[in-house]
Amino acid sequence: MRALIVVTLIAGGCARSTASPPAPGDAPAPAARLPGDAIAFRFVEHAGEAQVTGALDEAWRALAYPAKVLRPYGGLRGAAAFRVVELALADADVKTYGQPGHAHQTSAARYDPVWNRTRAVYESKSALFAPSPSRYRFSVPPIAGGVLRLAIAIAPGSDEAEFVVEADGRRVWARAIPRSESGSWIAEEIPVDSAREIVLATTGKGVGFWGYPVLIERDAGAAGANVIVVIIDTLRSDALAVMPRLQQLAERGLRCDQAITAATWTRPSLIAMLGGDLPTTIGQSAEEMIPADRERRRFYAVSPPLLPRLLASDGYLARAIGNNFFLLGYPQIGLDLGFDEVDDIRHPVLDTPAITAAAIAFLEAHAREPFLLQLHYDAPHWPYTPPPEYLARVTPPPGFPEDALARAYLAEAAYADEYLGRVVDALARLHLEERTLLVVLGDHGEIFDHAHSHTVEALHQPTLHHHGWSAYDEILRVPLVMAMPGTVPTARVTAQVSLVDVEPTILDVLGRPLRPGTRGRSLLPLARGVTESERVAFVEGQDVRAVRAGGWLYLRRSDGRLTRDDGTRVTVDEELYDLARDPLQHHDLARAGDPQLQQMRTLFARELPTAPVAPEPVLHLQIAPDVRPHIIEGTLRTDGTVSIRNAAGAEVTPLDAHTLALRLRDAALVEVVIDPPTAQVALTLTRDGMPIAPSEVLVGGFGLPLLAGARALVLDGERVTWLDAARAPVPGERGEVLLWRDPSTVTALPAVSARNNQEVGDMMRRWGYAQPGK
Amino acid sequence: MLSTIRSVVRRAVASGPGAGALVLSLFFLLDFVGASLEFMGFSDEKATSIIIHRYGARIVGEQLVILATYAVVGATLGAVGALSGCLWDWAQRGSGSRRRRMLRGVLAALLGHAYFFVRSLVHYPQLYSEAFFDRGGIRRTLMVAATNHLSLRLLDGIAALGLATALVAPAFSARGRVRIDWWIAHAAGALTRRPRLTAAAVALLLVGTGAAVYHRGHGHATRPNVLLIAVDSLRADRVFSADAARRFPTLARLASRGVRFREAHVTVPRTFPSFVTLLTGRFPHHHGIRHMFPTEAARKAIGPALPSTLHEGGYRTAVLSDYAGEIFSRTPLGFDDIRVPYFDMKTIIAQRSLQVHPNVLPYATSALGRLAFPAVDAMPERSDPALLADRAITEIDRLAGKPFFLTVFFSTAHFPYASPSPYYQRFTARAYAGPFRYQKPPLSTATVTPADAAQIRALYDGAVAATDDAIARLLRRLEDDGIARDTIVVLLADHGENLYDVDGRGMGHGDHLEGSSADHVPLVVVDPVHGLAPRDVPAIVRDVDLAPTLAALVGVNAPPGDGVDLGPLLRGERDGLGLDAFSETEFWFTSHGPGFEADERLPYPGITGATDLATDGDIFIKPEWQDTVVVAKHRSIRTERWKLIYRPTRRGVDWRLFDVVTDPDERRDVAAQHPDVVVELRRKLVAWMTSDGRTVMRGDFAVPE
Repeated sequence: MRALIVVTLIAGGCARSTASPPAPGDAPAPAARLPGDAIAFRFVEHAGEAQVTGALDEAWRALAYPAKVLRPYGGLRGAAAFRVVELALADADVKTYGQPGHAHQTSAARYDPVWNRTRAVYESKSALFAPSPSRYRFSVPPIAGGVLRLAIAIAPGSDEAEFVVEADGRRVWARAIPRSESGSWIAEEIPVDSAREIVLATTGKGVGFWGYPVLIERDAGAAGANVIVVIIDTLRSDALAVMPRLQQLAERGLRCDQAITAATWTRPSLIAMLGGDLPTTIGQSAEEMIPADRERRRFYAVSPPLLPRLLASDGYLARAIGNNFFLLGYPQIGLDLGFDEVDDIRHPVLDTPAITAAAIAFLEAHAREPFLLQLHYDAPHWPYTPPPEYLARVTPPPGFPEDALARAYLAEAAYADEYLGRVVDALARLHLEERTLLVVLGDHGEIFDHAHSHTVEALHQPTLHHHGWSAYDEILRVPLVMAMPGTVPTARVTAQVSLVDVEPTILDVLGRPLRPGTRGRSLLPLARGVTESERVAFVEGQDVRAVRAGGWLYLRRSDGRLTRDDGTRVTVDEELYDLARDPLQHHDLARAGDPQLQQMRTLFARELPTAPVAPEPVLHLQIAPDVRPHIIEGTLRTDGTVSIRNAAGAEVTPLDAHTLALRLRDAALVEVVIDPPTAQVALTLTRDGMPIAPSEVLVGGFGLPLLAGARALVLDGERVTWLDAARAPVPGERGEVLLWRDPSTVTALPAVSARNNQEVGDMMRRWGYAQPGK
Repeated sequence: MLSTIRSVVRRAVASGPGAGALVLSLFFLLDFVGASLEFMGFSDEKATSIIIHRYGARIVGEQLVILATYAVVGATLGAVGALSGCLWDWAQRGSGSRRRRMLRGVLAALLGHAYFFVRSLVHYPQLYSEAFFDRGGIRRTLMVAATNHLSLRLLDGIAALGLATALVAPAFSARGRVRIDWWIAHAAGALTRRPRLTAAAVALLLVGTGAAVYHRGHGHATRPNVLLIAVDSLRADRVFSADAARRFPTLARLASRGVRFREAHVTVPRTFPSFVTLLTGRFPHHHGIRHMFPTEAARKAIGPALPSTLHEGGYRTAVLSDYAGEIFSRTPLGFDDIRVPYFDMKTIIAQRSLQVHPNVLPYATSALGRLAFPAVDAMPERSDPALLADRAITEIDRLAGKPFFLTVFFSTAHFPYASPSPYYQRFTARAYAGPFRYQKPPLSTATVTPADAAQIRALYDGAVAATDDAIARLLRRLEDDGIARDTIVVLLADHGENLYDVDGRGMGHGDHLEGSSADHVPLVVVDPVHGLAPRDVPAIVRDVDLAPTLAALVGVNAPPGDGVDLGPLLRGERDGLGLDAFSETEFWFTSHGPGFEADERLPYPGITGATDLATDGDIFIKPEWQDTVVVAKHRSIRTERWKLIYRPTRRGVDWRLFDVVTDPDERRDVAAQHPDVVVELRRKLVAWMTSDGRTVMRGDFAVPE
């Protein structure tokens, strides 16, 4: 039948070509596969293609649990966005990670209403949201001896639910979770030999989650070498002196003596390190501790290809274990940086051994699979509370401040070093050393020099024992060590490098193509002794930016009002230091009018990053062609703000920030952007002087009269999403009024309430980003 | 050197085969005279350049094969001429001159070709109607005269006479008779002189025959075989109506022996989605094939189907078809053997290459020619059901011995309703002078008069009759081989057909849901294994119920699906299962037509705008149109009493209700009189439409979220 139609059409000579030439084979050859297992199918990445039943959106809105968020990546829109979520559940007994007999007590897990900040272990996973009853049907590649690995959970306090796995229509596994076991992940491995279709079904009354299901093919070959990135928070480069294990590692690999962070605090520094460029260029600057809704939306709309997402799409497990909420999507202070599973271990002291134990357990369990493991040790970060025994062990290196806080800080570094050593030992024991790239670095330093102590008035923040809002070498210089025996050359690089170079180096070591146009560059040429011109380091912070090049450091503040420790108030918008003559940066040459100043200003301006343009949801209003001409007049009003993008064949006059006067002739098109995308849109239109009824306006990508029942032409709440169209509607030929919007890539995110801000204040004080009482 | 070549050529031409080859090769050039100026059928310049760029070598290759075919046929015919000449020369004790030999070759080639050509034209006129009938004038007159006045038997008779004159007559000359007597005497002598050899030969012959009979007779299966006979576009009334027995005796006889589901309905009245629904037991929005141009990814994601579960249950599974069954070559449904034509851009190129050369068609479409021209199998004009029946018989011989599940899918009754001689004339009026003398091409823009409509129905019935006879042959063989008693035979159609029988409903299937001609199909289950008694089942059953029913009948796991086991109805334990049937329209090739006029549908581009060509030459609906095509579908629900139709338009959704008991032709919309029924059926239809997990209701409209 099909054949007949096509032959007839072509025979009839009415076939128009829709063919395109074959795509050129521009994909680079994949990296060699290593012995091991392969992740053959990651279900969360295919959630959009699955056939899903169940009232997900309603159940999600009804779920009163704070540590949850819709996963922003994957391009799922509308109600389909509710399929993949990021859910953090507390380990039932945090003490299991502690050390027996340790002086510090731990509290039992509980759930904070807004912030997930109790001392506990939170296991966060990209998960399929599965309220009962629901079914996800996936077509999967048939894998002989394939194993389905996943975790299941019901929401804290939820009723019982039964989880059922069907393979090719046969029930192959089932497990019920009673209410008493709610709120924690239960790991499972299920054989699904050669199944072509897998159904994940939930029945009962509870709200279930399928935590990061993957299909594993045994002995298929791992996609490539593993990567472990160990971040030791707030680690200054001079602290290396009290870290024998890190020194040993540095001697076996690539050690960068002059590594400069890309940002002065953790989240932007992580973004730069995982994205190979400055945080602003990637999509989220260092300026705001809590990204505003539109910032957050923009970041996800840009959808930066961060390392975890890049490697996960190549079949890696992307797991983070640490004490750090900046890479999580559900706290307002964090951003989802693309890790599929995050173990967040919240304890100021016991975190270090617990992170190590969890890391070693991960290595033992996943030694045969390709993985990206990010470990985040918080030890040297404020508060400096090392286990007491480390205080006696450390000797401050020459030039390091000698006060008690400085000693406590160094003891924390030594504490982290000892546990880092255990991870290194585990790699050797598991014979993973030669197939695992190990990267150890500090994300930024800390101010201990009283000469750099002042209060930044714009932020009401002191700089001593802090970071984030000043940019001296104390903060900028961090350790950077990379080791992979047999692959990464043993070398000591004294030239200046930046943490933006970490991601390109990792890709280079893995034999993967580097992304063109990023600021970061691979360090391997330097390691091999290739001489090159100096890499300029640009650093972003809150209220502060700096450029470091040619032996000079130039620092610029957006708001230069400072209060010195003696109470004097000054305004210092820029500072300049000659690093060769003044390594401690005590003599600001900017005020002296040094001739270098102009050059550094020029360099600063040249290196200043610009934010990417995020795809915006453009609203289109179009008049379809008709046999006779029409004039359409009226207004568009929104409770957000409206800006004009394009007006072809139309007169568009802004009356104020919220209102446009419109006059369209014939097949005219008006394109505007409304911010926020959730804002209400109201239209009052006439055609040739006669009012246009809501039923005459065709809405969305299918051009349907969805407002037929409405009294007025108003789109608000859920109805705003009716505008979203994957493509422009067919115009038709009847002079119809078409209204649609390019889809925004992110579904509505919860707004930050005033109450949340209070919580954030608490949070930042606890974490040392704010002083008590401020 | 040149002179050597010249003399070789001269000698070759002067020989009979050489002269024959040369003459027929001239037809290769002749074909181009007056051929369509369109390049390979593509009039579009851009398409042409792409086709030449991508398939240029293939086009040249096809032309060379055609030229070679002419040469081989010409040489063969010339050789016959030469042989005949030799015999005559011998009989008359003469010797032909070089010139005579050449003339004999030419004459034999021309006469032989004339016979084959006219015979093929009478047998399969649809192949030639583009080159002759459609062009009008003398060509049309000659073709109509040939098909009206010549029969295959007459032509074969003339040919046999001619051949006998050419080859056998010399034997009866005086010299020939003497020679024959000598041979007979010598053969008898040889046999009597070697008695042992003779006995051995006779014994071998007997044993061989016996073995063959034994092999056929002992194909006892542990589980019943299942033979699924599917007839494309077969309407339920062509099997169940009162006069069916007269016109289509085999179908009627088969129905009289089985359980007759009188109200079987398919969900999508088009071949591809319908077969996937029938064999998976899942509704189209659950298996993902909702139109005939799915992407490769969608085809791969169909999921488990009846043939795969039967295979796991120890069955050999196979599907055989002519052109409309090409879908099976691209669709993983679990068949072990897929013997269907392949259809893609290369097939189109090959078919168009052939259609430029009507003179080669008699040879290209012959059994031998199809080895060189496999694209012929994918030609609708050449879907002779008798050929498919022969192939099915061979296949059953091959499969017997292990339980088998064989689907035989006859395409002939699908438009263009191109049936071979004599079927295309069986029900048609000789006096008919319209454009649809031999077939009804799809999408033809000609206005259809009542006489045309009657002709089209007669062509359709002719195609059904041809299929009826072919099925008779297949079933007879099943009986003769003793396989029938172990075999469950299922007769069904993938969809029905509108045949201009009700005003405003046009012709075809899948374009609208007005009336039930397209979604109402025959379903008959003949089960001698379980001894199911023949009976009528008037209750509604659906395509999705077939897979679970057959799986239960033979005792294998059913693929997970939406249907139910109809066992209780088969065994007569229950009268009905309270099932509701659902339907949806398929892809609209044109912007409007009967039942989907501009104000009765949501707009989207026609086939050239909405489809794209994959690098492997496969055609699929562009991703950006896939959702639009689905949103625009009309949908319906049918209960024992009512049918509710959902038609989304830009003026809102048009809901229409029909009382199928009092108004079986569905002519009176009674939605206004029965608002409560509308509400109830609408609720059920909405639940069905949204059961794919990604469709939601926005106002009255079902849209993907």
